Amino acid sequence: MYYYIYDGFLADRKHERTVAAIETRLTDLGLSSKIGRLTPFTNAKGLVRDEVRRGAKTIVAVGNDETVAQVVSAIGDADVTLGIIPVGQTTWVARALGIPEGEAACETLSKRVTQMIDLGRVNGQHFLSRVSVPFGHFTVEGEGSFRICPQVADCEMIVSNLRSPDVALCEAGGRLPGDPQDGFLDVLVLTRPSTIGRLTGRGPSQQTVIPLRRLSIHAEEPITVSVDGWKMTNKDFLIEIVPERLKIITGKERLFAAE
Amino acid sequence: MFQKNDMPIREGAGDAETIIAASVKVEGEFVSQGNVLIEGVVEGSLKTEKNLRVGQQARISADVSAANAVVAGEVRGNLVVSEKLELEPTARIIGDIRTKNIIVASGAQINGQISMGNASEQRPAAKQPVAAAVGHQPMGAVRESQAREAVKQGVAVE
Repeated sequence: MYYYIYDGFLADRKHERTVAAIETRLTDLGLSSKIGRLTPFTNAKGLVRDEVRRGAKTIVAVGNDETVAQVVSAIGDADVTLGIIPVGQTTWVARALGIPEGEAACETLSKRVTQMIDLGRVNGQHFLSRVSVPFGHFTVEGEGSFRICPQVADCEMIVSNLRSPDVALCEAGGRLPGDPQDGFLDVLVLTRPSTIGRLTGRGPSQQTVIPLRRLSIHAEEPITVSVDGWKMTNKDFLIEIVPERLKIITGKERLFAAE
Repeated sequence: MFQKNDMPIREGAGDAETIIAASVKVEGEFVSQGNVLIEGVVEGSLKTEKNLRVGQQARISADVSAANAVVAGEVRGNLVVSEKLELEPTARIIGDIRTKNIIVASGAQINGQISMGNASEQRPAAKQPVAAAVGHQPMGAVRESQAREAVKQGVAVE
């Protein structure tokens, strides 16, 4: 049984036609089912919990990356399959999974090609794609045995489970970092290219890639990190991989497990 | 922010699963199961079961262990390479080396002892102290006797 979770912003008039087209196509494909809506008074966790109890086997997030992040976090340890119908901005996660925008995503849902993927977990909360950490005064410890210390201020750290098309990466070991089926999180330290580098397209190649299963971040003062677009503020973060945790419906153009 | 064209694939980075760029320092016990490329700074110890490449600008103050290694930068610490160690012209080693095969390019500096033979053996082979900037050595595997001979001939011995 399918259960669709619509993000609150889909009630906006500008998405009216897209949502109508999606619903028509789902009906044509025989996939129409119950719908739950995220509002200021309902959260994804409550909706997912109730519907899983009622027998839902596939939860479909309809919305953008933030919608997906909320639903992934809400699924937690439940044994369900995740589908996505991307609508709105931004939808990098859907693109990484090879799922086309809007109505076309219904075909992907219908074909139901699934992959078992790893999830990341930060302070007990699951995430699908990445944790972004703006560099500041904190320490990063990998596997409990070494520290990662950037030597320049103008850089960003990304802990990636599923790579996002908006972050350009070099190949490392014949593979691009951010493969959600390798059992590792990739810690990326990316230095911003200089203005001249950006203009000439010859920025510095300052990409650190460290595959890890577990890392911790400790700061003297609370810092804010972005977990799949959601802000999380704390002094200590424990980030770890949860291998083969989620069954997810993917499209042919996905950025991993190429056919 | 991070544009695709701004990030060319670096020379030597192709096979490395772990890359420590010039902008990063790693402190502590660093262990990897894959190929490692170091362009930055490492302090503590560094161990990989596969291949290691130390870039020209890299500075390592650590005991290093790898299956194969190519060094173009500076290593302060003991190097144990179970198969083949290759020192490029800009390499600078301050520490002892234990390896099975070694290739030393002209200009590479070694300040320490070299033990040849099976690097995984607990009992090291006969040691030959070396403090040399090896000059005009043809590229190729240098066995222990050859290394000794090079030192006897006073090839740019300090």
